[in-house]
Amino acid sequence: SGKTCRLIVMLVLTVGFFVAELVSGYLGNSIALVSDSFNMLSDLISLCVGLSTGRIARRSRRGPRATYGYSRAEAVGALSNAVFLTALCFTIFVEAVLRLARPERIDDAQLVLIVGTLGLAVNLVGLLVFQDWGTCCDSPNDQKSPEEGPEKKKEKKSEALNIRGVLLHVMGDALGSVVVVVAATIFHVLPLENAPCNWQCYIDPSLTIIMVFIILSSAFPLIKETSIILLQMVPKGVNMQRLTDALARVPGVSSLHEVHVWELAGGKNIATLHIKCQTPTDYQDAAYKIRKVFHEAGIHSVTIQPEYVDHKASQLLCSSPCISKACDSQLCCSQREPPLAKTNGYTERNDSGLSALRKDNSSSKNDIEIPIEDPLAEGSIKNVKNCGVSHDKSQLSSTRL
Amino acid sequence: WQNRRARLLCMLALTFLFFVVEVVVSRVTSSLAMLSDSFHMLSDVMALVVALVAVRFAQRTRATKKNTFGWVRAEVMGALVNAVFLTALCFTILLEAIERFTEPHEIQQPLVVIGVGVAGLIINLLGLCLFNHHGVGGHGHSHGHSHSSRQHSRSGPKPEQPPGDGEAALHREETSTLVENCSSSNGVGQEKLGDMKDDMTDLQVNGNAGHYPLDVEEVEEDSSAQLNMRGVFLHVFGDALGSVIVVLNALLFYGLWNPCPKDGPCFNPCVNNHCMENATLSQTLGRANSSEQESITVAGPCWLLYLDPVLCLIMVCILLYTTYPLLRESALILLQTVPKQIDVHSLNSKLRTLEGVEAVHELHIWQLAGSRIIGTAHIKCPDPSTYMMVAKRIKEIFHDEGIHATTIQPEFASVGSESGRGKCEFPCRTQCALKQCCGTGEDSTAKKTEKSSSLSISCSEVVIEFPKTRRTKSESIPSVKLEANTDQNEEFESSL
Repeated sequence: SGKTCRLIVMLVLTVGFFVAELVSGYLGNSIALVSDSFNMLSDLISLCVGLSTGRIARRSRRGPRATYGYSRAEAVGALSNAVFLTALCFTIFVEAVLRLARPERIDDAQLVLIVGTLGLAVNLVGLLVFQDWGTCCDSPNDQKSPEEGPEKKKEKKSEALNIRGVLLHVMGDALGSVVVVVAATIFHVLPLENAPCNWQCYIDPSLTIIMVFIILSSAFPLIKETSIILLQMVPKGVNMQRLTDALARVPGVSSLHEVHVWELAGGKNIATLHIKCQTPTDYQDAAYKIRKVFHEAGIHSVTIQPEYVDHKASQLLCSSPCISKACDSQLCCSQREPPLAKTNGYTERNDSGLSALRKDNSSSKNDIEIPIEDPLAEGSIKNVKNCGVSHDKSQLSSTRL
Repeated sequence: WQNRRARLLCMLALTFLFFVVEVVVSRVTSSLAMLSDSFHMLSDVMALVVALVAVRFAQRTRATKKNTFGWVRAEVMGALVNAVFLTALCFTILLEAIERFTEPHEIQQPLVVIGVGVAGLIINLLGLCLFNHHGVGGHGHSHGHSHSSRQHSRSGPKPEQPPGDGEAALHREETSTLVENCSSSNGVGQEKLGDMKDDMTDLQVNGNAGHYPLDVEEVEEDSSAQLNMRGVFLHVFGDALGSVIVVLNALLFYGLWNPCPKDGPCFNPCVNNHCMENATLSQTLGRANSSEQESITVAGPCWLLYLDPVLCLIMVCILLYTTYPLLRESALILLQTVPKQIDVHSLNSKLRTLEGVEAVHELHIWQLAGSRIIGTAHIKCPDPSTYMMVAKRIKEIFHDEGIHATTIQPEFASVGSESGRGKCEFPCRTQCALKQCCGTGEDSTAKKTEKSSSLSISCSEVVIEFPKTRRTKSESIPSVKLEANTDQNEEFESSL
């Protein structure tokens, strides 16, 4: 296809120019040219990383190894590219400082100028190619109806995250070429024939240092954005306070806890929560409204765990964490610490719930009751059945030992 | 974590101090090689800073407004950043080595280089000892016993050595409290509480219960912090290798190299600079031919000059080989993959074979960090009472796999709906399929029927089917909900 063809041409061009720049950098003894050639090589590597992770993410099939697919590969690829770029900037910075300590002049200014200009041209072509790539790459969504506007933009944003990593490298490369051209021009115009180094020798490294700072200042936002996804932070458009307030106001919900909202990748937000209800019908009716609240907040994959209120237990604590208290350290959020939970103002139990909370807070943390399981009081027959069932299972579990 | 932080700070201070010393010495002796070596130390400092920041972040395990999971994942990210950073440094070292191949340099003042190289090596070895605790493999420490009791026995192999008698007793004790709990529950309420009290006394009777709070913190250090420390360890290891190479090279150079004396003609066959030196070369050769009594010093064995880049190449290979597993592990955690010790298929089949469970879908297992594994599932049951019966078993199954933070969503099959068992009862609207975490592939038939009934579809609309069987309990539902019961497919226009 046209895209792959362009890509291959871009790759070949970059490799060719890398070799050319390297050779002429050594011949002309220009540190800027040598670093620019290494930038091209790093460009290639970042391009490979970016494209391969894009391919992995797009395949994104759920399997036994990854229940969410691999759509996060883009974020990981973008982070790797950004960190790679930072490390390269660090080494370039070091070499520039060394050059400042011991300045050398550019010997063959003309050669360096020519190759530098050509390199700049290649970089600009690369920038154009990838700008184009970024905008047209989400072809699977092209057939959808125009109402899909906001989703399409979000898809573009996720693709853009991946491509941004590559673009960052190419941009850094272009800046490097600019520095090379400027330094070489100065040496060409004012040649320094065998005289000791004057101010001209300091242009190259100082411009390189400025370039490093420019690149770093554009790499850090990318790192921040990928961190939001990778650290399971609340995605940007979601206000947790408002969300939990709206959820607590849903009738039928006595309280809610363990609310987690995170972004998988590219605008796909996922939420899980535990709610406490009085009866199963409360749950079923509240579930729909809860989903509506989440849907309006832009979160479309929600898993709701209902828990039924036991009068003895605190309103705010989870009725069914893992089956024994010993698992507390393995829970995603420790039960021993006071939870971020909300009670619904509608229920009459509000006061008792609050007083229970106060009591709980005053007692030592290790004494918080976490009832292991809370079956409903729906007649003793069912409970006997429960026992029967669990008794069988308990026999099974003993044999498992 | 105090321990970790103290170690990191100590190493950071040492390394930074040494970096400053190296810079000063290089300025005094005007040795470029030392200056460049000092910057390797600076990269070490950066890696340590990244690890420290990650450790500081990861202490906050509480949920906050910005991050509902707390910041425990910071250490995994710190490990990834360090691994990528190390790879990039290897890349630059590789390029420098290639550069040295084409243009070999002599080492000026090998004695100074040996001195400072040895000092750097000592500091690196100290760092290796500090972080060896968390080295490449696991650690068979006294913490090991609590670690293995966390990861319960399964068909897979145990990461640590098999637990001793104490831990097996603990494990048995946990399961026996469950058994006790189940068999003695004859009702709800008081008995439940009584069982709870039994549990607590049981835990206290067994002396290990009191150790739990301590063990928890130590176990915390085990898995995710281990990744972070491994990243730092690899950096220090790479630096140590670099110092070894520097010292070795300088020693050999000092011993075997025959330098060009400052005065007198000298022929250096190894360093071939183009253009300029050829002229001087011919000059010296000419002069040598003219006066044969003068002895010409030929600069020492040329292979010595190539020793440095060769050793660098070997070092790069070693480093990449040891960094790759760390990179892979942290990337797999960040990609939300299933941890390797869990088999999703068998878990799925175990859940499905429970009586009362009709179908299981949207089963997701992922690792937050370390041993905190999180699972979510939608379980389809015929009615709420059946769900009550199996809920505990479901949690037990997850617990046995090592997944302790689960969110189980019960769904009650709508009688009379022709849809298959695999259909999720509570999806968002089908147009939102793109924004859902996973495509709803089973919904293809449902999509068509729903699309025909509603016009001007946009993702803001939510439609849900309310099965008629649940309406039998309608007398207890407050009036606000009766409106929802009248229509089967009701569209709500969102305020968007």
